[in-house]
Amino acid sequence: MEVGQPLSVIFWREVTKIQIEHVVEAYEKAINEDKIVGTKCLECKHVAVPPRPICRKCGSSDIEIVEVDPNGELITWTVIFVGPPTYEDRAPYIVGIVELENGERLTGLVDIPANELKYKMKVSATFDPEVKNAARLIWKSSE
Amino acid sequence: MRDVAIIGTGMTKFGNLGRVTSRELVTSAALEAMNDAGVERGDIDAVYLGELSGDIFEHQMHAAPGIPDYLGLENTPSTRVEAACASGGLSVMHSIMAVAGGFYDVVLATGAEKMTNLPTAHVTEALSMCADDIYEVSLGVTFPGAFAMMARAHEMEYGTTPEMRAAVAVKNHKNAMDNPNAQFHKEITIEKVVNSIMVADPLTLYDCSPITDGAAAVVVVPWEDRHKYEGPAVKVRSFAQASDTMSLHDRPVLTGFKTTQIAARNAFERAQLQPKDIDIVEVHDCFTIAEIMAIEDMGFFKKGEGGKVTLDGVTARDGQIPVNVSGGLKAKGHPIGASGVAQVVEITNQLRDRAGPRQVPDVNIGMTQNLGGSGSTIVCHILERGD
Repeated sequence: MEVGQPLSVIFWREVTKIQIEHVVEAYEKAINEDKIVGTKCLECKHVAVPPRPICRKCGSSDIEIVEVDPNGELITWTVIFVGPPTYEDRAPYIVGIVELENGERLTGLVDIPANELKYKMKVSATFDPEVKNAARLIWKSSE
Repeated sequence: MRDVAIIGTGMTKFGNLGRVTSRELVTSAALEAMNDAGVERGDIDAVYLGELSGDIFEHQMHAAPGIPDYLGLENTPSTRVEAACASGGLSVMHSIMAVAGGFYDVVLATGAEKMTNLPTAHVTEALSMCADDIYEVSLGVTFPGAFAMMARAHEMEYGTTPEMRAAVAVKNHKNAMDNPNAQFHKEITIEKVVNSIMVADPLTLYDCSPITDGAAAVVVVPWEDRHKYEGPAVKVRSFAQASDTMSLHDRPVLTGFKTTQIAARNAFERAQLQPKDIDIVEVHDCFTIAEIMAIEDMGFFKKGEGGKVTLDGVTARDGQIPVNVSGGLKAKGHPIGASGVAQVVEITNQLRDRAGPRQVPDVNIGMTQNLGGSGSTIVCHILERGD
């Protein structure tokens, strides 16, 4: 550390750099604790989900990890009949894209009968206790 | 920057080709292209290879040097380009850039994939690795699944029906009847597509392109050198490439590709052309919905009209703008890394009046659109009949 340089500036840069390199780890750590997190841009306040190293709106890398509301609306989905080997036993299974309350979107498995699925139905995030990391996300109906 | 010409084309038969390696397939396609162009082995300055994954399909990484090796061009620079299903298009684009920039005078742009070595579930897994591994693939998203979610969004937004999507498959299977290199020579009906087994709802088996082995190659030279060689030249008017987010959910619009819109617009601007100037198009119909979105996003039709115009025959071989006269990925086959090169092969041959029984009369300007991932990479080329 250079003598005379404000400690807070150096400290802040280091913290930011660490966050940039660990946004995926932050998401995984949170979802393993049944939480969904994003990154909040400290410049323009935009919240991105999943977390991103650089703000898409303003380009700032001054970010912090924040927990987000795990409720949203189903905007599209598919019933997959032919899956990869890791999912072969589960076929047919449903995946869908959900728009969260803050407008950000996430893909997840959908645990709702196919004939009950409808555009913009209310869903909330639940978490598969059998697996780790991003694969835990399962959307269930909250209607 | 120099203007660039394509002077030779070659491709193998597409299909399940049994015990053969991708480097043998590329050698065969490359020799055909070199003979067509009238270039000697010693003329080749560099080789590009578009290939998704020799790693997974053939347990062979570092595939590029295998091409000059088998062609007997030892020590010739070779580079593998990987951009999912757009690998071939980018192989051509980088070859053009290398010649345009004056670094090389004769470049072989090639592409290949040997996919049938693996069972379907493993091919599905390999292809899904082109999506976002953390936020999509870990949750079971497949490529048919990703395009199915877009097909549903397109259906909800514009009323695009299963029959409209099926019309893409029916047209492309019909077109492939006159392409001896196509994987399928079998006409199908709308009923057959709609009633075939579901792969990823709402996409059925016949909405999806097949698993294919094959290779394609073109010879790229400076426009000013075109008369040095035998092959009739086609002029490269422009090319353009764009990228988008790895995850589909990170895009505000799910009914098309901003990448296609940007790449097409830039290609048109660079060529000082408009969609109405294009006489023939090869687009990336990995799924039927992909062709519908492509012809809209490129500006040939208004957003939401792609399905209807296809059903009405506007994009048929004898229609207002013929789309995928080769049979497309859907019926010609989709050996991943070869597909983008094979699109350029088709357009080049159409513009040289060498497309045989499927020749479209009076075509002067043609265009390609090659897509990687769920549209995360797009590359377009515009080509013009030579002198």
